[in-house]
Amino acid sequence: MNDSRVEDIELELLCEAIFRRWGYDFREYAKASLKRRFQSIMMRRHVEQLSELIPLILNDEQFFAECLESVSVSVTEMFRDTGFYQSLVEFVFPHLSTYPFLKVWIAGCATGEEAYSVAVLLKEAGLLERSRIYATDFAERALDVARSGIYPIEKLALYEANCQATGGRVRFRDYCVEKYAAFAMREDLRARITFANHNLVTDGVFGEMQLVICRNVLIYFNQALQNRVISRFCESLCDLGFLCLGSRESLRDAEGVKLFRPICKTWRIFRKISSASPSAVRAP
Amino acid sequence: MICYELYMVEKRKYASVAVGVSSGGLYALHTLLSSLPKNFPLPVFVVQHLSRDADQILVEYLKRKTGFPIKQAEDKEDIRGGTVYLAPPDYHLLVEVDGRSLALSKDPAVNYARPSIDVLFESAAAALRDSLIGVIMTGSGADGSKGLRSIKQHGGYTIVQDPASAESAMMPQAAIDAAEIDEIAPLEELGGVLVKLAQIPADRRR
Repeated sequence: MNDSRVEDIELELLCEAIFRRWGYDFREYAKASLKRRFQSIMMRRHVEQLSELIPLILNDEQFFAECLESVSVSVTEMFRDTGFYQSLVEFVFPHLSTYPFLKVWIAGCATGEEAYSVAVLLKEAGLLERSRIYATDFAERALDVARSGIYPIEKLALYEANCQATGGRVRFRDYCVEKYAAFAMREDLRARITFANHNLVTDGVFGEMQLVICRNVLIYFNQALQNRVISRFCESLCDLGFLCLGSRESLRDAEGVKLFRPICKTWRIFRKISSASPSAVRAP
Repeated sequence: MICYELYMVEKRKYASVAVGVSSGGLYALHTLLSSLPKNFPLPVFVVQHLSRDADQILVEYLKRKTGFPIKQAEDKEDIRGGTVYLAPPDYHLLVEVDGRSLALSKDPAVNYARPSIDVLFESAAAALRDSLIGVIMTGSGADGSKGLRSIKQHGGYTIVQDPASAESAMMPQAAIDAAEIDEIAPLEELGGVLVKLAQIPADRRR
């Protein structure tokens, strides 16, 4: 047996250990990227074999918390992928304005930049007052940052530039307040966003939404898990609701293709066309 | 498991090619791909360093100029022989552990690069082992050196564009300094090398 195959076994055992000990389920994550994330942890800890992490994971809660952060946190920016936000405003917002009340779910929100960006655009479109944004992640420390709405001042210039690139009259500075070495997102935006701990792998369906945004999260899941999560998104969406994925993510599975119609191919915006009951979704 | 059966009727010693080139290496990449025959049987994974806002123009240009099936990789895309997969801007490109599909990641830049050559090469080496050919072409920095070493350590074949004639010698030279290299060749000959390697039959004892 070659050592890559041994490594794959070690990775599976590591995920099994994490699941049984702490209840977090990485067993169906995409293996190549997960293995790479654990390998950085190994380098920091001067550990040669993946399996050497297992006793540490089982017995050291602090170490596990650090691992969890390394494996879950992704760095985001306000208005990253300006084309996506432009397409959101162009293809999705006109339909959203027909609803008296809007529920938006941002799944895998990390430190909250995407949630605030969407809130800013909803405000500009006059839709924020009728909206409730649910922004979820399973990384509690990232959620703390998101809830605070406070970001380092060094990022302000980049965020302003990103925001400006979406075109329109949106000025990022209008939506935040500078405070010492940081800036804080405006209170009226924060008031419309609920940041909540939710695990896409283990937790259930979330609300009845007009818009679900989950960008560059599914790339870390294997195909089977991705399919289940997309079915959950479908259950979460009202008929004709919108789903937004990352720019290189697809509804690869046949079920996903049947449930959604592509609205914007470049930015992976889809619209739900049929109601999928759980039993229909689980059919082979 | 290495899946020869996915794209080959005859068993070959080498089943895939991974290429790394810097942002300035468009001419080199174009030359390499143009010098491959249209029926080149192996999949080719390419990381060219890209600015994060780079668009599809590059892909379209390469397709037009080389006539080759070239595409930007999608997450979870099945690997097919004779197709060139380019890492999309601002994502890392990886080969999944079973060697059957590609994976993308938004993890932080490696060697200041996303996509990074090391990330592709290291994942490809672990998945594809001695059936993999790795090629480092012109560029600055040292991205790809560790990855090429990993390819060699897993039994693959390592090729570097001759630094003496490369537009930018830094990356090829760094690779030569870091890893055991099977072949150093000038740009015009790289395609020919790949064609010859693709024809070598698998060892009978496989």
